[in-house]
Amino acid sequence: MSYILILGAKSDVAKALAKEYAELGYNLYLMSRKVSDLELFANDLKIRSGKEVLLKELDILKWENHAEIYNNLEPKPIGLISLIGLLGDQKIAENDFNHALRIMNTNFVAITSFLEIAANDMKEKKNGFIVGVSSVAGDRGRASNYYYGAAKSGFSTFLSGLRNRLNPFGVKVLTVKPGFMKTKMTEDLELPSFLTISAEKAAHLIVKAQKKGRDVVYIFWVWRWIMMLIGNIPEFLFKKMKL
Amino acid sequence: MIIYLAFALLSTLFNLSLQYLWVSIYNGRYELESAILIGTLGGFVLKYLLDKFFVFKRSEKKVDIKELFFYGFTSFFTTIIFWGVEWFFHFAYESEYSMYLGGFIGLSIGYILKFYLDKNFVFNVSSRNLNSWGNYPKIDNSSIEPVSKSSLKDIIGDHVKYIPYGNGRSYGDSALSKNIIKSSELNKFIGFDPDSGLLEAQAGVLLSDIIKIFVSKGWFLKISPGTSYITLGGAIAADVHGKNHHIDGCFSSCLESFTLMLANGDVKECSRLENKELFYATCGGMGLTGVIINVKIYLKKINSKWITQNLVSCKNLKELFAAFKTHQNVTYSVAWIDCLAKGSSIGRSILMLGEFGEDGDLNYKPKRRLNVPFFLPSFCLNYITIKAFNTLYYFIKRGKKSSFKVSIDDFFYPLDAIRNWNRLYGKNGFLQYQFILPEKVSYEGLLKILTIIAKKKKGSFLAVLKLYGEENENYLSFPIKGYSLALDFKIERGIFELLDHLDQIVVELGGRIYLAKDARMSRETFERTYHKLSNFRRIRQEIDVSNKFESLQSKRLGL
Ligand SMILES: Cc1cc2nc3c(=O)[nH]c(=O)nc-3n(C[C@H](O)[C@H](O)[C@H](O)COP(=O)(O)OP(=O)(O)OC[C@H]3O[C@@H](n4cnc5c(N)ncnc54)[C@H](O)[C@@H]3O)c2cc1C
Ligand SMILES: NC(=O)c1ccc[n+]([C@@H]2O[C@H](COP(=O)([O-])OP(=O)(O)OC[C@H]3O[C@@H](n4cnc5c(N)ncnc54)[C@H](OP(=O)(O)O)[C@@H]3O)[C@@H](O)[C@H]2O)c1
Repeated sequence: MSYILILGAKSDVAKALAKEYAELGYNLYLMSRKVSDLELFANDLKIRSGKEVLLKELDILKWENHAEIYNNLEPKPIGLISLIGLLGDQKIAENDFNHALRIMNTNFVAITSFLEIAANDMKEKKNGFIVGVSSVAGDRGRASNYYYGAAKSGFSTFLSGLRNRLNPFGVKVLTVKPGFMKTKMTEDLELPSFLTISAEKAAHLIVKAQKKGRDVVYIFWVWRWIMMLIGNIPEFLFKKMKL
Repeated sequence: MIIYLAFALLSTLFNLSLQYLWVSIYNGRYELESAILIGTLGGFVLKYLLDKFFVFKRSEKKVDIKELFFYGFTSFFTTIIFWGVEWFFHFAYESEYSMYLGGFIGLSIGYILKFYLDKNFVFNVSSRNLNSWGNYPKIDNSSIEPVSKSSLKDIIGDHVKYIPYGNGRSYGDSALSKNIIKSSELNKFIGFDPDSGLLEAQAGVLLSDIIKIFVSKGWFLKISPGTSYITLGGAIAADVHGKNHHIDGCFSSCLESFTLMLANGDVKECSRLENKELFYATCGGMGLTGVIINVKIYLKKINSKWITQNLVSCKNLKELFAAFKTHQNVTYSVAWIDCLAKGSSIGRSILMLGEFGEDGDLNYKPKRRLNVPFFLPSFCLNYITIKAFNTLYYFIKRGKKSSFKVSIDDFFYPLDAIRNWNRLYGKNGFLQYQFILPEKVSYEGLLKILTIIAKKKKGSFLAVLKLYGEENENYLSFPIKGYSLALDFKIERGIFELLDHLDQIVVELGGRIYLAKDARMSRETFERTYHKLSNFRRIRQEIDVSNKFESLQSKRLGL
């Protein structure tokens, strides 16, 4: 059976996605930094699902290795999902460009390198899908995290272009824009519970959107309307607001 | 409840005074309608906030939309009842007073109902504390769920006493304490060797998960209790037994080894060869020696997902004992007794016997389950309903064909078909009383005890009688060679005295009571019946864990 490749596999959402796809009968490649931390998880999933779960080391910031890592996969995946992201610290980024660069590279620049390699392969085969998890933070820049937001914005735009390019070849590209998810990224933040969903729920919605062949999906649906509202606030007002 | 009603009154006053205020400042066309709307909204919001923070004492300050919605829904629902009753009285008696009387009765019914609905559904008060299966005793507790060995070590490093908690299927107070370490996140499968059937997994893995995964591969648990919703850790800590105890023994007999985290955070590998005293103390040790982390057990090869079941109906205890003897070589056996039957029918029962089939059909899917969504008022279970159920059950089963095929779920886990069935016993909970008597005195003792129970009319559904094989080496394992009876009793007046009385009989006959079910036995009863207790206490001292692991049970029994 076919393989699905998940980048940023240590994310809680990624783990929930891995479970869902294994349950659906797919084998898995899980990639992340220090991937050995996932051995227990992978073994468990293997036994529970009876599917292959293979771990591969990947630091997305080392783009010189991307091609080799992808080319070594045999068989090639029929789907790729990237959960990679780095919230970073806006305050630090304002004074330390290295940190800013790290945020932008992780959320945007470096991922495009990997996705392009996979995209070319899928285009050749005229089959496959790519899911990129971006963020609602990319829809409008705010003082509290505009490096992250700008990078996610760039990533969303990249995905939109990629979708456009791959459309004739039957390769699907899905842009996922989560609002708030309860994960280790946000464990220290106080999130309003009625706007927040669990990693499991988020994963379930992502799988559903991917199966349906959707293009852009907000997770969950209220965020589409919230972002519509926020997007329509005139700039002269928006610049005075604290969001 | 009284505060609740006081708030109800208060918000009604608030409602009316808002209306009054509104009418005095606004004199438009929709005066009445707008006044009612504003008053009702104001009263509703006030009452919601009062209820949320003062009656149900929710700590989080957020106003949850879902919560508000459900709260509004229960209000709407109970208002309909209020109006309905008032309306009914109005038309039925046609006097003004009867309408007010009706309004009063309707309002009271409505508010009492709403109180229960809000408590159970909207604010979900009951779900914050962990309980045991019997919902008795209750204790305020906080729980923590380590996700790895290292986070477990950090937790144990606190200056706090803990008790491990698996899936809360013990009936009494063995997994209850102020501070609880819950194993639900330590639920990873580690490895399986299809040649030997050796499975390695973390202690929080549920037996139901093992069944779900392995039956279709031709494997089943060597030992399984009457519910599959328990963890491996709980199975070891209570050294549980199944319908095959007389042949295969307790859970520890399929156990190869486990790792145990002690009070100082050290992890010890325990088996019959390595740290064997710790092994004997931990199997059946009710979580009091440390936290079990990884477990290795052997599974059993099966060739079918079907069990061939035989039912033998027995008119009384004598017939039942004879039937147990006749069928003692059958792998699985258990009897259900109608403990309310009297006189010459005492011990009226159905003996259920089973063996795994051989037809090669392993296409297993877990059964779908029904749910009891909330606690039933405890008066629903009483002498009459139980008597009716027991009699019906006996005659239905007696009428069945004697030999037929049943699924694993139906044979081993009939109670698992209904989630939360313990709620049938109501909020106050219930006790399960399970004792065992040595083989020689079993008949005489059971006759005596069943007579007392039938006379007191304090019986339960599905009292379960079972034959047991030899005692094992573990210090606190329950089984001895003989017969055991398990009965459920709703918590009500007189029950504790009755059970104390039964304890005396059990002690005199050389029997004992199962710790996994117990919430009430006295220290004296315990000390007189568990003969290897001193070994257990010595080990607890040697590994120095008394300052780290304690449960309500361990304190009560001086473990
Ligand atoms: C419907 C029903 C039928 C049952 N039938 C049977 C039966 O046929 N035979 C039988 O023997 N029992 C039976 N039981 C009882 C049940 O099997 C035991 O009480 C079992 O211990 C429950 O396991 P649990 O995982 O729910 O643990 P809990 O109830 O949460 O805990 C039970 C004990 O195990 C300890 N424990 C749990 N996890 C760990 C760990 N990781 N490390 C150390 N200690 C731990 C706890 O401290 C506690 O003392 C039945 C229970 C129910 C509800
Ligand atoms: N949680 C939210 O509320 C929220 C909201 C909107 C969008 N998102 C997005 O959703 C995705 C999943 O987020 P999450 O909440 O699950 O957070 P997360 O746990 O922090 O997931 C991000 C993942 O990216 C990986 N990663 C970071 N830098 C990497 C690098 N250089 N190389 C390889 N992998 C790297 C992380 O690996 P390590 O574990 O090794 O650090 C981590 O597994 C992210 O893209 C995030 O931006 C989240």
